[in-house]
Amino acid sequence: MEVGISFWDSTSIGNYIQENLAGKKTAKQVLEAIDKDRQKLFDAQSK
Amino acid sequence: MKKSKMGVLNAGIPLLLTAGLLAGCGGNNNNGNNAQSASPSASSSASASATAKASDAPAKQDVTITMTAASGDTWIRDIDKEIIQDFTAETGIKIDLQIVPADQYASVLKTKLASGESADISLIWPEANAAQFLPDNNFLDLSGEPWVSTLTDAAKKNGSYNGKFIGWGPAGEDGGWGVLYNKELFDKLSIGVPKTFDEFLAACEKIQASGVIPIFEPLKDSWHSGIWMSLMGPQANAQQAGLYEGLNSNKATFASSKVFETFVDQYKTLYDKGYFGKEAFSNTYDKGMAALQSGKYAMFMVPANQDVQAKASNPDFDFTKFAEFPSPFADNKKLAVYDGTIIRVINKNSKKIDAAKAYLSYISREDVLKKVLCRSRAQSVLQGDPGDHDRSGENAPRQL
Repeated sequence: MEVGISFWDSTSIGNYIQENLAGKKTAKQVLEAIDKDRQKLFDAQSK
Repeated sequence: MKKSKMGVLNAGIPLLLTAGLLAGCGGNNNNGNNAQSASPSASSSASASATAKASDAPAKQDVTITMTAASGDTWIRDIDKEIIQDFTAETGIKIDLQIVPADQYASVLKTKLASGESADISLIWPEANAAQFLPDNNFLDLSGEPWVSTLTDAAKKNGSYNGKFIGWGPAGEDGGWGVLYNKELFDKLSIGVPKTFDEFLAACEKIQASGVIPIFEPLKDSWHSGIWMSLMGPQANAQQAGLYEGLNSNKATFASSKVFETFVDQYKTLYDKGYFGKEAFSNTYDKGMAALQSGKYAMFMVPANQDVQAKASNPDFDFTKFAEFPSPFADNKKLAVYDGTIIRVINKNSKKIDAAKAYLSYISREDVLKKVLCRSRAQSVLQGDPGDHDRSGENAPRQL
């Protein structure tokens, strides 16, 4: 079984996670930031 | 919809010791001619292709193409630079390497692609991880190139997106990622392989109390933190049916996933407890294996085939003293395969497509590829090559 997630950007996701380490974002805010970035790519793809 | 790995592969991960992998390399890894002559078992199709290409070599061209990659020794290695020099000597085509700091690479490349200013050739992550660069809009379909037929199925799969072959990388396919740990230290401290996050925390506590830093975490390479999170994919999808499908159809969000949220919180717990050590923010990935071997650190999250990937840069590392287990965050017990084997793609809007194609054709040639593989210790992407090992699916990971 192979499934996966498109629009994965480990670098930007890692940056958000590290903002959590620094106390600048909660875990939920990290995930919301990832969702926001992905939405931009969905929008770009649909153009 | 594009499907990819981050797949569900159960149980523990072994180190895949591949003594026979370098059959055909001989004792001199610096000599491509030796490698070529010592590979009698390469496929006839690949040999014929290589012979045809060598004899039909075009006249030298005075052309310069650009190629962009991230910084770091896994992107453009010494052997890659040597191959570029060989390519220029043979064809006259020069390659202008444009290296971007790894932590900015993805965003810089996306910006350049969007503005039409991207290099002729770009190095990118494969499969699902290629999606962020909008391959259908930006990269050339290479499916019809004659050399593609000589590659293994794994290499073709690794280089394909939406049914088109867009690029390739000499490692051929992706491995799972897990936590490489010092078996002797675990035995000495009577630590079992952690199967839950609480067990992982207890192990870290014991290790730290012994004077060893539990985890080498290269926070300066922020992508490593991102890969930790990617390894939660199978667990998140198992806990929330249809999550992958929802994420890929833009009907679900990461913010809806308890598993991913738990991961972020638990990762911070490790950091707050000091289990990454005081130098984590200056640590880089390329220093990890040496740090592990020194005994200063006990664990390091790396690919399951690290014994192959890191052998060239860490020839003295004793892999028999180490093993791996799956990432234990959120009590995960599954190995996830990260789409991380770098591929080279051609800008669809390049003005020098023929020269760019000539480079990809050159590095797919049997004698050239042998030289790369012998030096890098990567598995072959050529059909019929002695190093053509099946590393896909359940044959790759084995119980510890």
